[in-house]
Amino acid sequence: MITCDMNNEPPSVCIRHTPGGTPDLMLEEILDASGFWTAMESVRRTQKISRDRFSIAIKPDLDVFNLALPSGTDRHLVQHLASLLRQRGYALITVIDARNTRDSWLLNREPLMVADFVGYDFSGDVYEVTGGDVSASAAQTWSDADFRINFAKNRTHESQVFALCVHNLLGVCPSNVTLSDLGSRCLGLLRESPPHFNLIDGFISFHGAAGERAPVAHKSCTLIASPDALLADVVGASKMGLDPYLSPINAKCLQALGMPSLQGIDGELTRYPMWQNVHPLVAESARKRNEVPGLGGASAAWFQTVDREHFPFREFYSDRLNSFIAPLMARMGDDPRAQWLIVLLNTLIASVGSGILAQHTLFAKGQLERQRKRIEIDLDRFGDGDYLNLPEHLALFEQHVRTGEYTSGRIQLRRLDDAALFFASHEYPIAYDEFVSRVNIGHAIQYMNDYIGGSLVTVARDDHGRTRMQAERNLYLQQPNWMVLFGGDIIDVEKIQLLDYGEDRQTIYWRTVASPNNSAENDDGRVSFIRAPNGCVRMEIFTRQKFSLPLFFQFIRIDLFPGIRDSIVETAYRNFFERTVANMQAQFDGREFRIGYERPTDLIDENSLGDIARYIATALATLSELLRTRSDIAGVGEWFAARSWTSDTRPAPVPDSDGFRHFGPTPAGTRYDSVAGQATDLARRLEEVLLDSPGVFAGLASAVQRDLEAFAEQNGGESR
Amino acid sequence: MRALVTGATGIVGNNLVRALLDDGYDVRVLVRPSSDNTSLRRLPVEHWPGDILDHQTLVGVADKCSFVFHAAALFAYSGFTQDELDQIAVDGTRNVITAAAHANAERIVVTSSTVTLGSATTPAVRDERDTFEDKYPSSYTLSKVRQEKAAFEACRELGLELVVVCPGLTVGSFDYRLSPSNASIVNYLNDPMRFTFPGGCNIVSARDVAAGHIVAACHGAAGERYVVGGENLHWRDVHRMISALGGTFGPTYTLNNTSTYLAGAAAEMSARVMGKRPSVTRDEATMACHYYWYSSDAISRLGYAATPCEDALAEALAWLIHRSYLSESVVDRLTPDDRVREHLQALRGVAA
Repeated sequence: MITCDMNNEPPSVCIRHTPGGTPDLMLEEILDASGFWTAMESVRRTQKISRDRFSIAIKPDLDVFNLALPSGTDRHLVQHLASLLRQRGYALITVIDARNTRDSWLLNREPLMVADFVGYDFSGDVYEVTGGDVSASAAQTWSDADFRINFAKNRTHESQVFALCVHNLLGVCPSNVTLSDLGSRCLGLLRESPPHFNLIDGFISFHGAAGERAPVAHKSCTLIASPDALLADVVGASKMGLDPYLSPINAKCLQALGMPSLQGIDGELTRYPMWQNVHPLVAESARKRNEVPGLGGASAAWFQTVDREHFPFREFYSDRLNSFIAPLMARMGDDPRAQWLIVLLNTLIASVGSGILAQHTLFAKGQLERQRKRIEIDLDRFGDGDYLNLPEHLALFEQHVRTGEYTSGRIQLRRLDDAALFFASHEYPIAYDEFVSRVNIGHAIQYMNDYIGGSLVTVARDDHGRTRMQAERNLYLQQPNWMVLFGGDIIDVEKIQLLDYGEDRQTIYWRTVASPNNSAENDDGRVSFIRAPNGCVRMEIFTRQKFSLPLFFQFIRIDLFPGIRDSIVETAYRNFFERTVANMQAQFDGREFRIGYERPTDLIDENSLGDIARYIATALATLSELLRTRSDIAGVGEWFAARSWTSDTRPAPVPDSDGFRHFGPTPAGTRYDSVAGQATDLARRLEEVLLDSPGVFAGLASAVQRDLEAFAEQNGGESR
Repeated sequence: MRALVTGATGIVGNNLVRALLDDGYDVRVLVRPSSDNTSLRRLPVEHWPGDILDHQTLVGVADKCSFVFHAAALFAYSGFTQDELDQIAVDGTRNVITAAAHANAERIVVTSSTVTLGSATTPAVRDERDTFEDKYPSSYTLSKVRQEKAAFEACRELGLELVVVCPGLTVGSFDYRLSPSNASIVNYLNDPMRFTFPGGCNIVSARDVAAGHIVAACHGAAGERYVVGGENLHWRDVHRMISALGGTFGPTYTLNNTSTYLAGAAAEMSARVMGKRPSVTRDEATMACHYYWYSSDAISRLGYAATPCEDALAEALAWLIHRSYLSESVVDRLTPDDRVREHLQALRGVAA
C-alpha cells in the first residue's frame, strides 16, 4: 500500500478499491480523500466568485455504442457528483460532450441524443446538458468554466491501447479535428484549459482485446482521482499493467509536459485481476488503418460493435461490413485466429491507403489534402536569445558550403556530420521593391517545393509592426518523393524563425527545434531577397538538412554507397530548388502554385469517402455479404462451382423407426452415365452461349456507346 | 352482361375477373386444362376449358358475351424462342378474335403493353400516337408489337370492334406465377448491394389495369389504343419507395448502361450454362436503362384514375411476402411499412 505523507497536503492521486462497496459512497469517499472540495474552494476563492455563480463543467465519457452495456462514464455517478455539488451550493453545473459528432456514420449520434439515450436528466434541475459544435459549443463551455471536472471511464482502446482522462478530453474538441491531430489537440487543451480535477470511473471498467470496439465489462470496483490528468492516466495505465507511453495521445502529452511525479499516491497500484489489454500489434495496425485518408475514418464503422436499434447505420456498405467484421472483433479475446484476421484486415486497409497515398504523392499531388497542424512546441521555452542567435548559428554551417566550388549548375552541396548543406541563388528579372511587396519573406518556407501544410504563429513584431520573430510548423512531402514507396514519412518539423528587414535585403532564418514524427533531425536554413546591382532581386537559399531515412535505407546503409547517395541527393536538391524558384515567381505573378487541395473548415468529415475509397468499401461489402450469406468459404466455392451438376442426385435417406439411415448401392454405371450425361448437357449449353456471343457483344457495344454519349453530354462535349 | 376473359390466371386476368365481378358482370374464363386455376376456384365464374392455340376448343367460348377480354399472353424474357412467343401472341390472338366474331361479341379488348409504343434513352413521355422504333427490341416486345398488328388486321377483316389496352409495369396482388414486373421488386430486394438503374418506368397497380380494361371496353373508341399507366418514375425513385416500404436500405449506386448490361449478361449466361432460369436477362437490363414513360391522358378523359405508385408497390410487396416470393433471409431483414402490413393482414385474412 502506497500512501501519501500526512503533512496535510492532499495526495497527488487517490485510488479507491472497495469490492462490495456502492459507487456513490466510493465517490463521496474519494472526493473527500483526494482534496477535491478543498481544491474547488481554493479556485473559487481565488476567483472571488460566489458558489451560486461559480460555473462547473463536467465532461463524462459518452463514447457509448450499446445502451444495454454503456461503456461510458456511469451516468449515476455523474449525476451523484452533480447532486453533491448542488448540495454544497454550486448551482451552475453543466455536463458537456461533443465527441459523438465524429461518429457520423451512425444515426442518432448527436451529443445531446447520446446523452439522452444514456439517461441524463434534461430538466435542468440539477445540471444542464450541452454539446455539439454550434452556438453552445462544448469546447467553449469547457474553456469558459470556472472549474473543469474530467470524469473519464476506465477502459481499453483499440488504437490508443487505453482511454482514460487525456483521451476523454477529446470529447470537448470540435468535430473538425482530424484523427491525426488528436494528440496535439489534447496537448493544447492540457495547456490552455486543463481540467482542475480528474476522476476515473472504474467501478465497472471495460477491458478486452478489441478495446472500445467490443468492450467487455470488468467489475474493478475502483475509482481514481487526481488534479493532474496525466498522473491519473499514469496510475490508470499502471493498474492495467501498461506502459503509460503506449497511448500515442498520452505519449505526446507526456513528452511535451514531462512525466508527473509519482510522489504522494494514496492507494494500491496493483494490477486489476483478469484484466485483458489490446495487443500492441492490434493497436499498431489499427493506428495505421486509421491514418488512411477517407478509408481510415470510415473504417471505424466496420469494426465497432453497435446497438443498431438505437444507432442505425447511415451507409449500407458500413452496415454490411460491420455485420461481418464486428463479430470477429468480439471474438478477439478468446480466439487468436480472430485477432490475426483483424490484424491482417487492418494491414490490408493500411496497405491500400499507402498505395493511394504513394500514387497521389508521385503522380497526383493535387489529390493530397493540405494539412493544418498546430504548433506543439512550448513557445515559452524559447527566449529572444534563441531567435537572435540564429544568423550566427547558421553562418557557422553556411561557410562550409560557400567556400567550396559549385557542385552542379547553380547549386552547392556539401556533407557535414551526415547532414546535407545546400546553397543556391537565383536572380529574378523583377525590381527588388516590387518583388518584396508581393512575395512575403515571412512565408518563404511556404513557397518551397512540396510544402503541404502546417501553421505559423507570430511571436514578436518590430517597431513597424512587421513580424520579427515567429514559429512555424512545416509539412513537406517525402524528399525525394519516391521515398513514399519505402514507407518514408512526410517531413514534419517545428521551427523558430527570425526575420531581418534591411533597405536592400530581407532574410528569414530558421532552426528546427522539434519534429513531431521524428522525420528530421535538422532542417535549418535561411532565405534572402537581395537587391542586385542592376536593381533586380536575387534570391539566396541555404539549408542544413538531415532527414530520417526509411527503414529500408537504414538497413542497406546507403551511406556506405556515397556514389548512389550523392546522386540521389543532388537530383533531389536540384528539383527542390528549381521548383521553389518557380513557386516564388508564381507567387509574384499571383498564380496558384501550392500542391494539394484545401478542405473547407466546416466540412471536415473523415467518414466521407472519396471515389476510390468508396469503391473499395463497396467491394469489401460485397465480399462480406457473400461470405455472410454463404456461411463459409466452402459454401462460396460451391456456389461459384454451381454444385447442381456435380452433386449426387440420389434422394437423401430417411431415418427408419430406429433412427438408422439406409444407403442403397449405386447401380453400376449409373454414376458414370449420370456424370457423362451432365457433361454432354453442359457442353450443349456452353455451345449455345458461345453461339449467342455476337449478340452479347452487340448489346454491350450499344450500352457502352450510350454511356459514352451520356458522358459527353454531361461534359458538354462531343460524343466522339 | 357477360364477359369472357382469357388469361384469367395471370396477374392482369386475375385482377380483371375480380373487377368485372365487382361491377356485376357474369364472367366466363377460358382456362387451359393444364393451368393451375387455384386462384379462380373460389370465384363465381364459369370455367371454359380450352386453349387459345386450339381453335376447336374456342368454338362457342364467347357465346352470349358482350365483351371479350383477351389477356392471355406469354410474358417472359427468357425460356422461350421468338417463334413460341409469336405463336401465342399472334396465332392465339387471331383465334380468340375469330371466336369472338363468330359469337357476335360487341367488342374485344386486347391486352397489349406500353412497350409497343417504344422507349426513349432520355426522360421523354410517350403516348398512343408514338410508334415503335426501338433498335434492339426483346423477343417479348416484338411479340407484343406483332400481336397488335395481327389484332387490328383480324378485327378489320372480321368486322369486330377492337380496343387495345397498353398497361405499364403492372405490379400488385393475385400474381400467382410471378410476372417479370413483380419480379423486378424481388430482384431489387434480393440484390445485396441494392443497385439501381439509370432509366425509368411507368408503374401501375394491377387493380388499375383491370379497371382500365373495363373503362376501355365501355367507353373507349373502337380501333384505338389506350395507355393504362400510373406514375412515370426513375428506377432510383421506384427503388427508394420499395426500400422505404420495406424498411430497408437502398438504393445505393446507380449503375450505368454498361455495368447494368454486363450484370444482366452475366446472370443470363451463367444461368444458361447451369441450365437454370435466369433471374434477370440482357433484355431486361437494357430496358432498365431506357425510359418507359407514358401518358394515360387519353383513358383518363374516359374516367380512368390511377392510384399512387407507392400504394401499388405497397400492395405488391405485401403480395410478394405473402406468397413467399422473397426468401426468408430477405424478409427477416425487412421492417415493412404500415401500408404493407395492412395489405399483409388483409391477404392473410383472405387466406384464412
